[in-house]
Amino acid sequence: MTVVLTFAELACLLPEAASSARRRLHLLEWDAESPVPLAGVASLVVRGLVRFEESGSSVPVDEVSSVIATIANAVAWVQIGFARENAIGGIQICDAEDGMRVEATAQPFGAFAFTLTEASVPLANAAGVAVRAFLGTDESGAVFIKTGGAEADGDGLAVRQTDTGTIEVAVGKPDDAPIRELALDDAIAAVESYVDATSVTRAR
Amino acid sequence: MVTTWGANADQLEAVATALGRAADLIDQNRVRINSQVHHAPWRGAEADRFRSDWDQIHVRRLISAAGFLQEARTRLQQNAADQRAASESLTGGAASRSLASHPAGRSSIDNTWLYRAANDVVFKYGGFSTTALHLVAKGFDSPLTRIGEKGATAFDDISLGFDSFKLGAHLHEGNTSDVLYDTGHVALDSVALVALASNPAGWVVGATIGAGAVLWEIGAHDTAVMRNMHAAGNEYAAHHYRSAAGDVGKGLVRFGSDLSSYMPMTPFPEIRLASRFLHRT
Repeated sequence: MTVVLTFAELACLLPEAASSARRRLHLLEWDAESPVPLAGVASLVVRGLVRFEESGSSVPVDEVSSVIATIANAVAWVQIGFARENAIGGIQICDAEDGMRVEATAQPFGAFAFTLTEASVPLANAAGVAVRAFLGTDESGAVFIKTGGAEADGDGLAVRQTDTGTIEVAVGKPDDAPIRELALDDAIAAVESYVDATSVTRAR
Repeated sequence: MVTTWGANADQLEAVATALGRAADLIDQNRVRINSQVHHAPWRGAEADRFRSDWDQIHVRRLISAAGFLQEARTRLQQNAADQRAASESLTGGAASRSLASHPAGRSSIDNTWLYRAANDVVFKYGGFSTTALHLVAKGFDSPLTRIGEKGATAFDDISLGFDSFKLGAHLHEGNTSDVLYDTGHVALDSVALVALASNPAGWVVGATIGAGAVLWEIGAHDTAVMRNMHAAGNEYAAHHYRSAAGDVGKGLVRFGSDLSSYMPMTPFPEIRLASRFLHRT
């Protein structure tokens, strides 16, 4: 099940208590006078993503509620940026304590496509699959992986495939961290190991 | 008792000014959206197709809509000038008179188009305001609660304003002005159409700007409508009409314009970091 939500809609759906989730999605901060939340409400209504009950109260529809609950209550998450010479993309995968998983794909103009699934494989494996799918082609490209446990902003694990097909890995900041050359399988194993070790955001 | 025949020149000019502002607004947003469309880090076939549609279809529609509004403005200004000239020839130099001094008078200003436009806006966006009220009233756990009371008041005023507006419109008889009605909708539909083509966030921006533009135009008539309400002894309605159709209309226009500045263009910084690693030597 996939639902696309805009930044304005997320502003309404993610309460202030879920500030960590808002930060992870890199939503801009807005003040009380900002038009963002109201625009979000309008958009949710127009798109039929909130429903009204007989009592007059309004609640997000089930698929939206499930996505928001998982994002807001994530206990582990990983964020992956993808870059080629002529294309970019980004995903964020987060797991909640109840075994549900949301994969958020970045879209232009501040929208995100959220796909809700059961976490049938560990988060580290899901990240490994995504990285393999991107790098396992003849095209050069790079990924940057940041997890919930990363120590500092800008720190993470970077993997790139050069024009000659060489796979290179760096842990730390992408500009100056030492680079190691690895086979693709070993690079994926490094990704999984890194995510496994650092993705838990708080004790389960 | 003096009866005012013909349109009030001041009112016509007020509408002309509003139309000019709406045209400027469309132009400004065309430029803004154009920049976003062409500079967003959005690549691939879908992006190319959208940019092509934007350049070849939507931009032209926006330019056409703005041109139409400017044309209507010029026409109204000309009408106002004609009206003044006619009035002077009839009264020997007195300016055309407002309805305020002639509560039982009759004007040929046609508010039917306003009534219809208002009805359409309420129909299209009424759910929006009602829902916002519901969410606010129920304490929807979101940042909306921070602006809850203010928002509720604003939207309440819109509803009341439109009810009041009906009263004012019913007090009038008149002619013409289908052009004005259509003009408002050209503004609304063209902006909404363009924004709809991008994504739901854009839809909201466009629809809000469009609705604001129409309300703004309606607000330009507040003097005329309020006077009719005063004439009917409905001071309360007249007061709320001003805050609803006029101020809220302008607010909506600003709202839509401001909103676009909040759109994050590069959602995840990890994308930039990946790009830096790709190009690291």
